[in-house]
Amino acid sequence: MNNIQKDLRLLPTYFKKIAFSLIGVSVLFLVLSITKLLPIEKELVKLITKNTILISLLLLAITSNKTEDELTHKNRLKAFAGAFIFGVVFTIVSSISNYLFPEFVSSSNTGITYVLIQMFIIYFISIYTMKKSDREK
Amino acid sequence: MKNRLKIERAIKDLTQEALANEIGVSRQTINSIEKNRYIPSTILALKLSKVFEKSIHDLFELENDD
Repeated sequence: MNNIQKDLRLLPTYFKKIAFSLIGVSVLFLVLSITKLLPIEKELVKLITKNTILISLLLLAITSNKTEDELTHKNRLKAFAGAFIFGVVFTIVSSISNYLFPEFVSSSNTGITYVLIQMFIIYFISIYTMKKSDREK
Repeated sequence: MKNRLKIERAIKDLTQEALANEIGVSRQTINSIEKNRYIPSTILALKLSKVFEKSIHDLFELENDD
């Protein structure tokens, strides 16, 4: 474990495999319940899938890369900040729009899980974009 | 901040990958430093100066807007 891993308290690289396995298991669980091969209550399936995907995304976000150095450290912090700002802006805008247009409020695009998943997506896109621009010779 | 990393690397005939491996960073980090997109930490600058056997002042130079 290098200093950067210690500074950011990142998990070892093998946690990426655990995260992808969790995503795989949750997708399999979802498919089995949709095809009625697994007789489970719909709400319970939703709850388990949502939480498993959130845990997987968190694991992916806080797991160190093979080469973790000060540039990846800086990129991580920038991406976290971007995702956090997005989360705050999204929450404010959605609460205002829900107040102004209550007839358009849908249960699928509200709630903390939805915001968190979008924040993770913003985080991963930012990391990918920065990595790509750093790679360009 | 200007730097002579690319020139020194060429003199030593090192690839970005080889230099990165030598100081324990990714190739992207070396590339970003050479492109002036990233200013390395003191630790990294000292590691680079050790590899090239040059002082930090020989490798990095402040510009007016720094």
